[in-house]
Amino acid sequence: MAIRHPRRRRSNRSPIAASLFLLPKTLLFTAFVLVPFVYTFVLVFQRGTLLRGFTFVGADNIVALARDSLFWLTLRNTLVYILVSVPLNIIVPLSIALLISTPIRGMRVYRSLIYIPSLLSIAATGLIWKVLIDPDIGPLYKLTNQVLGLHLPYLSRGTFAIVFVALIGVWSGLGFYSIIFMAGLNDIPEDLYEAASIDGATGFRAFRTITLPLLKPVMQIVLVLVTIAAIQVFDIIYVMTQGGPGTSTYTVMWYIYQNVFGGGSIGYAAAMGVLVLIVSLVISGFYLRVTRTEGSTYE
Amino acid sequence: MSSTKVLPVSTTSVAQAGDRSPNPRLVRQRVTTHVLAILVSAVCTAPVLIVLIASLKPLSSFSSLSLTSGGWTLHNYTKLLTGDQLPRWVFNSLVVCVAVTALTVVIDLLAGFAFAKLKFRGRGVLFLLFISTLMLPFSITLVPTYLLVARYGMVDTYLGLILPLLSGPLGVYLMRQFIKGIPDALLEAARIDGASLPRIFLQIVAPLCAQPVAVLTVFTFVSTWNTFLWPLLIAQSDSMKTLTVGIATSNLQFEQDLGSTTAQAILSLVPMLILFVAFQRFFLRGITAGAFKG
Repeated sequence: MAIRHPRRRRSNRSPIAASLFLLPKTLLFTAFVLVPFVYTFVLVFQRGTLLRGFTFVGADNIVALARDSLFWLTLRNTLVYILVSVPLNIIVPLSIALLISTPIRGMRVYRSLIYIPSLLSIAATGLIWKVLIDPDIGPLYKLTNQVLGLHLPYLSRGTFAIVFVALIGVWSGLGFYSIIFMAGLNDIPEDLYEAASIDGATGFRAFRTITLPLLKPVMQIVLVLVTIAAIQVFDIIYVMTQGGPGTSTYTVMWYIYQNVFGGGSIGYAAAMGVLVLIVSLVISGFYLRVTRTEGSTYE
Repeated sequence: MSSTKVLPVSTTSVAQAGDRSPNPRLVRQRVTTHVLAILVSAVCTAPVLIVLIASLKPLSSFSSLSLTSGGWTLHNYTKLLTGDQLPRWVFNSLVVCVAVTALTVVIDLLAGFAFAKLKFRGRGVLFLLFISTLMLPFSITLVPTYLLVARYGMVDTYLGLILPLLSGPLGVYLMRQFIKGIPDALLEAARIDGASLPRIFLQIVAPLCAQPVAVLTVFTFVSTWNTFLWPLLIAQSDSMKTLTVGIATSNLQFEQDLGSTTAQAILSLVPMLILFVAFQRFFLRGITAGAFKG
């Protein structure tokens, strides 16, 4: 092994060794990401169910999708979810991060407590909130609808239910995302604030001119993560509404699930999957453009 | 632990000497911070606490959830833990979590090392291909992955539950970033001493990676424990369900047994809570430090 003098100059160039190290990951990646990814685009043009075979149907699935009013409803619901969830998933964790990165005694306890919702599975989160807002026994329902007289419909009316479920999503993610923001805040060099305060920029002005621009890389990552999560929201819909009442809280992912496992068409579900991909690519591209035009001040 | 970057007002010299100074503005600021932090903590924990209390009450179906009366009982928990369903689900979750976590760490450490320290054609492209799937919605591959897994007869098996969860890109990224920081000279010295690549990997690189391995372990374990959609599709018989799937599918009509439902929600939190308390620094620092730097 040691007698490889001619190779010493380019000692790290070792394609065979590299491929052995990469083999397990590459195999798994190929089998469960790459092949399925390509396969989706084949399925889009097919019709069939899990039990019977598939036949080529051309663009039928896409045409049917465009005419399917339930599909447009799922798009609308998903959009509502995104519009509520994405901004709040930035604003709330960022505010909390600003709060919990102040160095006062006991802050570590607060940080731990705030992380608790992120430790819960969505299944448990959904159950907890369903208990809280149950019209018969829920303490939160009693508080808002009997004591305060607000008559919130909670899960009984479609759009309100989507918004409410999105809020619970924010609750369940705020621990995780505020820790990410906190790490970003801690990376901002202290002297910047000192320099700024000499120039008279403190408080909100320092936040706007220093914190926000320097937080941009973290912001981008969180933005992409929460958007991808929002586009394919499923777990919480499953636990809290099951798409109901009626079909009023169907989201795209829920509809895909219904098609595959409610005995619907696989190709139809694949077509929706592709559409979700296109939507998320458009949104990602939009984010990239927006953040690029302002110029990068960091790194 | 952290510094005063956040409230720039307090970064002046007053804050440095501020521990005992009676500066009223500073005191007011500190009190405000405490009050706000307590409020946020309450919003985060109160729902869990209420459900915890409900789970410790002897409630029958459709009774009102009163938190103050009725005495305390562990009945809801003992009933669940001595039944056959819940322990089975916990067992399944543990099998899947341990397998996925252990395999992910090994596989991603190997791949991360190759991407960080070995030169080969197509390295950049392959890495980019891996990483770009961080932004790939699962919905696009869900249907065909299910079809493939079904074709290989892996529906309702542990293999079917575990294998697709090993294809995520995060661990490779995390490991590569860390291993890149290990000086080349160290590896070169070992090579000159006659160490083979596998030995360099096992005896030098792997031991240095304790920190990112811990981070990836905690992160993978938690996200696997909580993962829902994939096991929902694959675990079709009751005895193959993981805990989250079991809880979600059996409690859609929770009014029938509120005590059982609330106890299940709390029970599913317990392992994560233990992990969190034991490895808190990896949760609160590690996850972000390595994985999420732009």
